[in-house]
Amino acid sequence: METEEHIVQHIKNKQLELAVTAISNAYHEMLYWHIRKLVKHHDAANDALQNTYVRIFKGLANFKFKSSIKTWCYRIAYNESIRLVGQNQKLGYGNSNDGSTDYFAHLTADPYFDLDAVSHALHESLSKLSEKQQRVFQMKYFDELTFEEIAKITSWNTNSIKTAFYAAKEKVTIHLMETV
Amino acid sequence: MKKEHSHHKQMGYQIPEGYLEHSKKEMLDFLEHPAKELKSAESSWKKNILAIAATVVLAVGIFSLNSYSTQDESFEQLTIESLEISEEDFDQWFDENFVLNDV
Repeated sequence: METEEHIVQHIKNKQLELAVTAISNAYHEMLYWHIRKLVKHHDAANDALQNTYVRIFKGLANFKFKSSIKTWCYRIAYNESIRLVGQNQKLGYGNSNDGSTDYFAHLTADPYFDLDAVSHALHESLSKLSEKQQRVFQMKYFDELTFEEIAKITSWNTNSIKTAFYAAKEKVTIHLMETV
Repeated sequence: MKKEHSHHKQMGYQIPEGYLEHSKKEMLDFLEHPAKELKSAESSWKKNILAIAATVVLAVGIFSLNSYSTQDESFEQLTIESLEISEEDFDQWFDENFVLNDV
């Protein structure tokens, strides 16, 4: 398993291909699931992941070490996912947040999605959150990122992220208690 | 990470079998492609130049052949016409069509 230190060392030595390989070994799976939760469809997640790799590779030479490699990669993956979701919404088959019907219609269109009672309840509770609350909740609760990391990834204010998360957590908890 | 694994299953997200291992290799291979694509682009550029050169040579050849056959046709036409020219007018006709004309 590659560590953050290994990756930093590769970048400092200008061994960019080794750095990308090390990033892939360390964060490939995490990045995929981070993207998947944002874009929901497997094929879309695959596309966004590929674009993420390209941007990581192109950006490595100019990496300024202002954040950790992990946070930087997450930020790229997040931006790629949001860009893709925005494109799909423009095309009319996107992740509309108008209601749970659109949310589930989009979700169940993916063959790599298995909706059982638990997942239905989880997604139903998520569908009742605002876009911002959904993203913050997923990053904090599922990806286990810190509020500071989420702030760097999304460029949102830390306090507003905390507010969004606690509001989301309360809504999800209440909904799950009522349904499960 | 353990929590991560359990949550995506709870959320109903599935992936094709062996996807993560396969996609990791695929993504890294993809990053190596631009260099290969550049090489193929260079070779196709050379091929294009050769194709253009061959087309130009072919076009010049066809044009020359056409000109030559046009000359032949003109000469033949004049020869036929010459049969209709009377003996007295022939010298003048000959000068006009062969000496003064650049055929």
